[in-house]
Amino acid sequence: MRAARGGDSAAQERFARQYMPVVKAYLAERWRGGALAEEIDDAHQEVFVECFRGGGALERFEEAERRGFRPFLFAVVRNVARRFEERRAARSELAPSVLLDELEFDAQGVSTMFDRAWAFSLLREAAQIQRLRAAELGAEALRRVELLELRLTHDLPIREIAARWNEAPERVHREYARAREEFRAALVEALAFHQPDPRSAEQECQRLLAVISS
Amino acid sequence: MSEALPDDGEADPRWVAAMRHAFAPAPQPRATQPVAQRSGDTEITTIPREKKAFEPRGEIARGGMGVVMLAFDPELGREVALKILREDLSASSTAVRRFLDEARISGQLQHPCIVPVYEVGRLLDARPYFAMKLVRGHTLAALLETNAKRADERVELLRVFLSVAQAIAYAHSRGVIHRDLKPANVMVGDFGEVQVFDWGLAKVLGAREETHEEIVRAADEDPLRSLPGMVAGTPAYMAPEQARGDVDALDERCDVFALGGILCHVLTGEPPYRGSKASSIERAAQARLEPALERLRAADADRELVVLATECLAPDPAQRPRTARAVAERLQAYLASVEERAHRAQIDAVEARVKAQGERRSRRLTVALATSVFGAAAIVLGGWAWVRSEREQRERAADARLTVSLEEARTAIANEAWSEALVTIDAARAIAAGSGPSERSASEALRWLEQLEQHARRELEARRFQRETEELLGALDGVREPMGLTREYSPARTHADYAASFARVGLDPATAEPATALESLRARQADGALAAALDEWSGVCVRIADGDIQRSERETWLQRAARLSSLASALDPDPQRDRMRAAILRSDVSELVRMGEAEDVDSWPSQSQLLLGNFLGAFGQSQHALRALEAGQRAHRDDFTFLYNLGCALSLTMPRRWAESTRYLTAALALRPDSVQVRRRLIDIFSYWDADWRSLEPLAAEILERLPGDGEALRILGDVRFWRREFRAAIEFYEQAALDPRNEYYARRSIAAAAKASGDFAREVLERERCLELVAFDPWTRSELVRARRDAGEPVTDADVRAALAKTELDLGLDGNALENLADTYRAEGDLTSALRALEASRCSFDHPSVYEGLSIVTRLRGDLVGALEQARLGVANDATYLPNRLEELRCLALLGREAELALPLEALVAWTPQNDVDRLAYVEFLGFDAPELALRPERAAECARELVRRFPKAPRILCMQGLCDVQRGAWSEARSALERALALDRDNDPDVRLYLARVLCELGELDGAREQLTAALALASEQRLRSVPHRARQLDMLAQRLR
Repeated sequence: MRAARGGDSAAQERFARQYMPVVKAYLAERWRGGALAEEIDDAHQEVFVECFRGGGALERFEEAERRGFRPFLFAVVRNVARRFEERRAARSELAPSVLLDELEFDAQGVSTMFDRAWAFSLLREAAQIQRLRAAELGAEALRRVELLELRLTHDLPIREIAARWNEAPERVHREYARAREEFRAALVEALAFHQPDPRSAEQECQRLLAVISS
Repeated sequence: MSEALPDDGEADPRWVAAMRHAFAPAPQPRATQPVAQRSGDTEITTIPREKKAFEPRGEIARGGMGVVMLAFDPELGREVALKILREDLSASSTAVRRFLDEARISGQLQHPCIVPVYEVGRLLDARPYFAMKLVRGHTLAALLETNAKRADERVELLRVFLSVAQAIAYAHSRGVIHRDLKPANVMVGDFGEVQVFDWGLAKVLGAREETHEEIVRAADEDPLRSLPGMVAGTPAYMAPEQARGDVDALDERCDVFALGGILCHVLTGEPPYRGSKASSIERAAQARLEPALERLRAADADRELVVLATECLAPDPAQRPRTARAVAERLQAYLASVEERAHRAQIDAVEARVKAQGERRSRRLTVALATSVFGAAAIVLGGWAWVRSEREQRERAADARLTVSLEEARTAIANEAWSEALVTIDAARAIAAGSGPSERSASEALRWLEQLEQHARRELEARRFQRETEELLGALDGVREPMGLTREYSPARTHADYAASFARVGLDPATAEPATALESLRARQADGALAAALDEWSGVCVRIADGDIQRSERETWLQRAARLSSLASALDPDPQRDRMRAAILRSDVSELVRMGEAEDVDSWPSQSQLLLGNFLGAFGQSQHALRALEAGQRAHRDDFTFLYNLGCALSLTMPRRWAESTRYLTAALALRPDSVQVRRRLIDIFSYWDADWRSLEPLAAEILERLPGDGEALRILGDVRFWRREFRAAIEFYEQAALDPRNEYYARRSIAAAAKASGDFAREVLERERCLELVAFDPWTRSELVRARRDAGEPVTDADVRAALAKTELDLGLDGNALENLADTYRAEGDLTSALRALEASRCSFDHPSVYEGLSIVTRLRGDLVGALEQARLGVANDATYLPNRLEELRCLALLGREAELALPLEALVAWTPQNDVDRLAYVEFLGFDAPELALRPERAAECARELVRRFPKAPRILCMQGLCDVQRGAWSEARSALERALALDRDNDPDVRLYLARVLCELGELDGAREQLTAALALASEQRLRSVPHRARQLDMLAQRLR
């Protein structure tokens, strides 16, 4: 994030790619069915311009560290959204008070959508971390990642995976349990990055699970 | 997907769901140009935190397990309390584990009244430490030492106790018991914040118990271990089972006992057990509580509190309240009742003061009279005694003047006209100090005048102060907006208004030295109202800090918010509201939502309900805000603030509850008939909901009475005239509105629209040009300007207009609302294909019912009646309350000859707010104007029209309606009368009136008159380019043929 703030284009790319789904999900929910829906692409780019420009949002990165990155990003996206709405109001033939009617939105719903998008982004990040750690640990760990993918994205029963791998099902079950633990550790690591306050990590983890289960 | 499959064994289904999401293929972003340059693989790299070392700044305390140091954290630039394991215990694994347990348990308990743990780590010598929030203040033990016996301080101590009970209740809910609860472990900060600390003996209920072998082995290694039978904790507040060392029997109720002990200390000034530690443990183990209970019974305290303490101190745990939550709830109910009683007492005091004021006035008058009589008598008697010489006669005359002057001063004093009294006192003093009066009279009078002057000055100052305070409270009321619950809410503006309101009376709470500010605020004797305003102001500062501002500014705003919040807390020290204040300063929405979800919100004090409602509203939690405000309104039915805030909230949350909102705001207006803010909210609602002229016009006029020149009110008055097609009057109001710089742009656009509608294209050109000066990027106005120039006769061709429109269409992109406006222009230009294209584009991005209306009209004008009907019905499905789509549906059905289907939509139309003028007008318009050939219910239409004419006798449009209804009925003479009256009122502008009058005259056989009107109508239509409106042109042609 510091590198992105310093102008490192690769870091900016990574930053933008990682948070783009969250930003877009928020804007899409906020402007759902409204005239601004077509401006989502412009608006999400403006969010990142806002983050990277000199004197921009990332200049306040320490602030984000202190209060957690999620509320920080939320504030940046919300501010950009408001700017778009104000611009549009100024362009219209009608008085601004009339336009405000259509700019009304369900703030709670939008906030929930942001939280969900954020949660999914963290989960994907955790999966990436697990893959990286597995690459460091070696073939067994990489195989456990593969096991998770087979089990969870291809819905293969453990017994079938065991047959494919020519392994005893009991052993694959144990590996599966270990893989789950590794994923949990990766998620905590991802959370720790965004939520440096250690007392919040576990709570944040539970909150995240609640968000995706809701 | 969220459920675990059989193969997932014991895995938590939520984790399985989480992993599914984590490993699911990532959604592919749409092909857009990213801001950052794309590069190779996506790679997540965490950034290791590089912490700088803490800087120790001295020892704060030393306990059994560790040392607490004051330290500075250079990373975050703040001081913290650093607890470090004692050096001599660092080799003990149990001590290390217990120390870390304390950090872990404290860290997991996130509650405003539990000291938060920031960080856990190890020193270079491997000793563990943890950093906590530093709370400056005094322990509850120290406060009890100094204040316990003072009954006036007891309520404050009870509030502290309530916070402790709530914190422990929270811990219990998380399965943690404290086990060493005592006043020395409760810190009360300088701003009243309460923090429970020292969780070193805390136990997690249900945690795995160690086996006997493990315990024995550990005990061999470490003498500090707790063993069965070993006593840990402080005996003065210890439950019997804890004092007996019955570790296994301990549960939440040992904390409940300790709470009872603290309450006993608060009420009686002493803990349950006194004496040495050993003797206290013995008494505690045997539950020898009789002396403590005796002290409780004798205490000067309300019975509810004594009963609560006694129950908590029950020797048998089963007889105590089950958890700390039960204790907290009972105490909260007690404090709420105290607050309510205090509130009632305040009201009684005010009533008594009003009554006493009358009595005092009469008493003062009597005193003044007596004094005056005494003074006058003395003077006069003195005068009689000395009437002997010329000099004496002169003295007598001067004495008489002095008497008159004194009498004037007395009268002024008696009338409480203090300024006037000072003038008369000065005049009397000049006479007394002159050479005329006798020495005796003069000295007597001067002495009396001195007293009078002092009194008058004191009264004058008190009155000024009181008036100033009333003005301040009035100004704050004007500023106070339910945060985020009004449309045009602007935190920056509200902040400036608050600062200005306080500054007007010489107060500066946001930056003045806190003690001085607090003293000045308290002097106003309006703690509650001022605290409420400061709370809102603090919330405003937090919102600004959360906005898009520089980091340095953000810190300043947060500090400002904290300062205002602490002042509010000092004026209104309440644990519940302090919890909200702490949450708002942290922007902790979830904490506020949790509070809002409490079951007992209904029984909260009104201040708490209001504060919570406003704070939740500020964070966009409108449903939760509504719940708190509704609870408050139920409990305080005649409270202006609840009525107003609830009215605003109901009109702005989805789904809108207009009718209820109007009801609450109307009730609020009845309580404060001078309120401008309520009128503005009502105007908002009437404009969006049903555009009721009758309601809008007087509301706007009433605002102008109170705020002359108010641009928004003037625009509303203009809009009402515009809707009545009284364009000149509308322009006059808009012109006045344009004098207000904040309104100029929108007022000018409105003037341009009115000028266009009345055919004054030269004026339209001027106004559009001015609009473009004010807002440079305004594609719509740019093309309208080209069109207006052509219509004004400037050398602009139709091709120029088409080119300008095409350019605007490109510039507008997918701005649906502006595209809809553009479609109107295309339609007026007769370019139905482009109009349809613009509307289709608009519908893609602007799903508003008016777009369907436009689509239906254009489709109908293109001759596709079935398609038009379909669009109108889509519009009705989109929003059944949008009237024009109903009308379109009716028109299409009528034109298709499907009269059997008309009944349902017609009834729906009439049933929809039938008392509303606009709807009536629309109804009349449909029945008698736009589809005269249908002759649907002509009598009913005429009835509606007559009613409207009675209400608006000088509105030409409505007179025209009545005329047309009469045409429908074949009542030609009545029609002629109505149309001629309409024409007299609007001779130049509306060719419709002449058109229909021509038709009536034709029916009456007055063909010359008819021809004259038709010629004039055609001229007007030509001037106003009405030929481009196809249906009107057809009507003109038909009538001309008939006349020929």
